[in-house]
Amino acid sequence: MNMVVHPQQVRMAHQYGCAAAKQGKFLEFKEAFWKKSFEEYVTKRDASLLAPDAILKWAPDVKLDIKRLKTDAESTACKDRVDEDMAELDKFHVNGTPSFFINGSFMGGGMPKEEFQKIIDDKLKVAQASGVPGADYYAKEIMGKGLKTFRSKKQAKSP
Amino acid sequence: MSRSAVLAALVAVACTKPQAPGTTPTSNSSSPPPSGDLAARLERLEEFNKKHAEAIEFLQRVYDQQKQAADDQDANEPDPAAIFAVDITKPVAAGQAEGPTNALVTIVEAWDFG
Repeated sequence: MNMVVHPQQVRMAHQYGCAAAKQGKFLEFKEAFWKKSFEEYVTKRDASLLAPDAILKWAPDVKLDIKRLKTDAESTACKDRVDEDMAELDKFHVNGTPSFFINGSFMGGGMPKEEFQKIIDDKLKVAQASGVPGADYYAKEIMGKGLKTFRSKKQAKSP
Repeated sequence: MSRSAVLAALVAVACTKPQAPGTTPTSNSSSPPPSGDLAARLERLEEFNKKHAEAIEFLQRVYDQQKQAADDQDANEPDPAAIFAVDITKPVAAGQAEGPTNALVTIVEAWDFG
């Protein structure tokens, strides 16, 4: 989910991600952004490499319709799309990236691949044991039974 | 027992030299032997507390600071046992998702381009 930590630099990039999704190319856009914009930015520390003008230069490489991409990215719909994600994450006090919820369990920051895999395997076992079909599992078990707002360690300790 | 009393007792223990096996307990200015009637023992304890008031107060302050820091951290960190119902309906509908819709494990990633 979109979580803009550096709004001055990448707010528009997130909106372009939304616009790319409208053309069914969200993942292609994300991958291209890392390779064509972000990697060069890391070397040169030039924030313009993350800006719309830079995106529009490589966007045709991933078969994006540039005119439509720009229009959608600047639309209220894409602005709202990013804001909606951030509002949802804010409910759970997510304030950094990367952060993950694996079937609802929060994992903050990076972690070794093996640890990540173990959590996924454990969650898979629980899900398989539930007998709930995959198509219904998130809605029924996570959305249906999970907490709708943040609960802290401190609150959990309180009687 | 109050925390101050516990701290006072800890200070008393810390200031007491261990007794060697086979030796007779000797009088020590910081930890008098438990003799005399109750009033006398209480008086000695009060004297002891008065003498070490500064150290006890310091320990109390350190304890309070560390407890506050731990409490603050616990108030900001999510309950590790909690299952949080993050609504993914909109990002999935918008095509900002990857993988099959019938997966048994769903990973929600909060990501940014920065």
